[in-house]
Amino acid sequence: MLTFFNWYYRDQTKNIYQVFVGLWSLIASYFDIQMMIKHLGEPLYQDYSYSGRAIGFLIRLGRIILGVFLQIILAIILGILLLLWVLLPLIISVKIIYISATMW
Amino acid sequence: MIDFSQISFQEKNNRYGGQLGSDFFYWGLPIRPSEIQSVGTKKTIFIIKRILFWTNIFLLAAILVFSLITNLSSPDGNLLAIFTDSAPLSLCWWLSAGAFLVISFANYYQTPHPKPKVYSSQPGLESITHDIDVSVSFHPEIINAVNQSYLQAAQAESPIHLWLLFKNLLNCDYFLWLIIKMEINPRDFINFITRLSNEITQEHNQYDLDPRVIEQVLIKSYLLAADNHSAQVGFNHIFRAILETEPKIMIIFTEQKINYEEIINIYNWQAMINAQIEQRQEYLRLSRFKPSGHMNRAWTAVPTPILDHFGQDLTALAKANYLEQLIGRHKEIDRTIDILEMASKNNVLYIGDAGVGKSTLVNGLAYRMVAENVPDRLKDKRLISLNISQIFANGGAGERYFLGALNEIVASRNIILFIDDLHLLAGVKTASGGAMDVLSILTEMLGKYNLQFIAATTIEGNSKFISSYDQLNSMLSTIEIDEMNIDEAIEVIKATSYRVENTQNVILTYPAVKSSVELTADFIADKKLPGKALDILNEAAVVVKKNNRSVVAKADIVSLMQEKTKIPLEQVTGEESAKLLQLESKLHERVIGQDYAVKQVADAIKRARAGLKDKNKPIATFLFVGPTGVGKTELTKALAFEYFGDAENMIRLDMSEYQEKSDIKKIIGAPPGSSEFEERGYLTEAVKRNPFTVVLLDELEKAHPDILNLFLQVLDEGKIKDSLGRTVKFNNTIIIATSNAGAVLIQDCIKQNMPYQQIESLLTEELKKYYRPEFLNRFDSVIVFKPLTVVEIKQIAAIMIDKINKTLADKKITITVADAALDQFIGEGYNAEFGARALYRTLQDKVKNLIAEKMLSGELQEGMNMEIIGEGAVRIY
Repeated sequence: MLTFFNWYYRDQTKNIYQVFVGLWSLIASYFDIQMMIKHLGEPLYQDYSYSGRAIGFLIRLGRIILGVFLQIILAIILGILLLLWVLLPLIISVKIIYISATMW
Repeated sequence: MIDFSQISFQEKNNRYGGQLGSDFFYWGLPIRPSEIQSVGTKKTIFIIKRILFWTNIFLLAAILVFSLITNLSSPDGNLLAIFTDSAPLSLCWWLSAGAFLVISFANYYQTPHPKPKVYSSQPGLESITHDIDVSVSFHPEIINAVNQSYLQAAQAESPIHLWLLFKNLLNCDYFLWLIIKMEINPRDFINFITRLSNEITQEHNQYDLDPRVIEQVLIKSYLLAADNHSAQVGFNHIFRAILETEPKIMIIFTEQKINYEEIINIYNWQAMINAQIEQRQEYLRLSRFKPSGHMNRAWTAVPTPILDHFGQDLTALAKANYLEQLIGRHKEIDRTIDILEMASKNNVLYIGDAGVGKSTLVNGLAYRMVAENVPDRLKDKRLISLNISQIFANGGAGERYFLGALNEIVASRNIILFIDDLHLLAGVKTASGGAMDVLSILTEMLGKYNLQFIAATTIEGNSKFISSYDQLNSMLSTIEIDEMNIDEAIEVIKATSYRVENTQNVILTYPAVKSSVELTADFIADKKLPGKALDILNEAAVVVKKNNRSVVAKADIVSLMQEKTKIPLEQVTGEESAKLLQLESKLHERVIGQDYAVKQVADAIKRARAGLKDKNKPIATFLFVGPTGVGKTELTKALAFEYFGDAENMIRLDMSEYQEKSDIKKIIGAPPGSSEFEERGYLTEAVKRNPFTVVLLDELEKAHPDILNLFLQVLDEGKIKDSLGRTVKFNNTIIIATSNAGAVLIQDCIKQNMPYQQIESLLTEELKKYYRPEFLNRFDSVIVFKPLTVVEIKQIAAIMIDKINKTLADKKITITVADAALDQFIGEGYNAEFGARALYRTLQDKVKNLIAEKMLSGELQEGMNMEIIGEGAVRIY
């Protein structure tokens, strides 16, 4: 029993967490928010004209906003899934006991 | 290092195990046959678990689908009823869901495999008792082999023994790999071990078998793995523990000429490959987010069409795992990164000969850059190798492309440039015809725009060209890349051999790898390790593949090297032994008389072929002393023929041309900066081109004393440095110096019928007038050539006549010379001062002219014979 709970709560929770960390890194790296903030005022492709600077600023800002948004969504999904995962054995046990008691 | 003698094997708490310090190690898995789960039972349990798992999933899905369909068809149906209802179907679903968790656990739970550990060796834990079950850290295949061994022993009603375990371990792929790498035929080896193991099992009463030896070996394997900090007890550990416990197993390998250290090297090979794979996976993982195109992550770079066309993006190639991985050279790569980080002189110039691994070092930097395992200044950058030859193959447009590429680097600001063979740019004039060459343009751009730049050149390229560009040198920090030693080169080839194996679909054995490094180190002078050894392995792999074989063995390397060097490298065979024993008579076929000289030379060759020569010295060094025309050069030619297969394989230096001190430059080349710098050293270049040769120093006494000093090092250490500082090895040459010094003394002594030993000691004193004693002592032997006797002269004359006959063989004409005529020719031609040379000239004049005359007059025609009976008198028949 102890081994089962160890496997379920420690090993598998860790696995789920790692999958999410992987996804998180993928988004973080794809949008590279830190890099975009560092170069926020720089134009894209070294187009130093006014319009080039403006476009660069807007695109970088857009990327930052989208990246932050997706990371927040991912964090919420991860929180819900982890909560469900933790509660699943309890939910199954409660449901079985409850239905059995209702039936008999 | 674990000391096995410190382990005390004993029973403790009804368990057998080994006590080491405060730790007690034991094999926790059952060893009684009734308790051991056979492989078949394990498989059955596995299949049942899998069936239950999938049945459960099917049941969950089926109930869900059934509930959905039922609720969809009813008007007030609740689609989530299965989760919310208290109906029997819901109970079934929730029970199945619970069962799913349990069955998943049964299927996917893995017993933890803790890393092997010795607690008592850790500070603070010395006195705390630990009982350690070693079985949890073993590779599953080893556990299977152990279980099989116990079961088989019980079946045969025999105590278990080590040979039985060894036999079962041989069924594992790793052991097969190990046996093939040792160049042992796996089928024969497995048959042999199986036969031996069965014999011991059947006749176990005749042997003193200790059934506990298996547990001892398992515990030793665990301790070895702990000592190596390995994650698991693997095949290499158990193999080594078996060899440590049962030295008799080693005998089988000794018979195959594989010693213990080599076995350890081979078993470390697999660990090295695993480490390589892990490292590569780590690089790939870290480089996932590195952009592979021209654009950097900050989106500040610009397109680089010229660089994309003429360059190779090493960082993109490293990301795609196309580059060769760097093994070792940590110091050089760390230094490279340090230089690139510096505020000034932050460009790197690698100086090293071809093949030492300059390009591989740059590949290593590319891998570090894609993994972002570099300082911030090098992150988010590309490392591009520019192909100079390709750019300047475009004629006048070359300069334009080169400048375009540099401008792209300036504009992009995220590129580190790598140029191999930088010296090729020196002296390349610009199309505009200005005073600046391409290297000067590059220098200017480096200074003006602070570009980041790595270049590589050879030692010669640096001395001859790069060193004269002062401004460029002030911007470059140099790193000298030395040639690897034999052990380092073997390690590099072991780590990179998989590339050759995968390309040609062959297996390289350890003896093949080792001999490729050792033989190329000894016999290929113009390239460097490890490159030259890899080249030979590649060639051998192609040959093996062509012959429809799959294993590259030592014999393939030796045969290829023999083909390249034309010198016998294979071990002396029975046939060759007989030939070597008759070497003196073979030399005498060309050299008449001079028995002592011929014997000395023959003995030197026998010593060399028997492998008794010092590897760092020339094969043999002789000083031939004696009058002219007595066979000194002829013996040298005979020696070249017998050892190197060609009588003309000889570098001949007439030492009378080296009478001035300044003539040293003719031998080793003029120093850099001098007006004659372009001239290479005659001797050093010739030996570099052909290191397997006879070096003949004719008339040594005429050379300047400083030039003789130069040869002191050659004779003593087997090498000299040329004017560029490159070492030229003479360890595969036979050095013969001839001298006429003391010739008159020899003739006088012979006239007085003095014994050879006395002549030798008198001559030694005489030679000291010409050469310093330490110079004379450097020769293996000073050989005195005696003036020829009349009988020997006649034999030489006969050989000369034979040679003439050989030239007439096509015309089927045979010439004979009557004794009286021969005596007459010898009387006229032989001169004690000039030896056999004068006789050769006389025979040339008299006999050949006579033949020509008779042939032209039509008297001597094809198929006829001619006997010379006197001066101008012949008999044709």
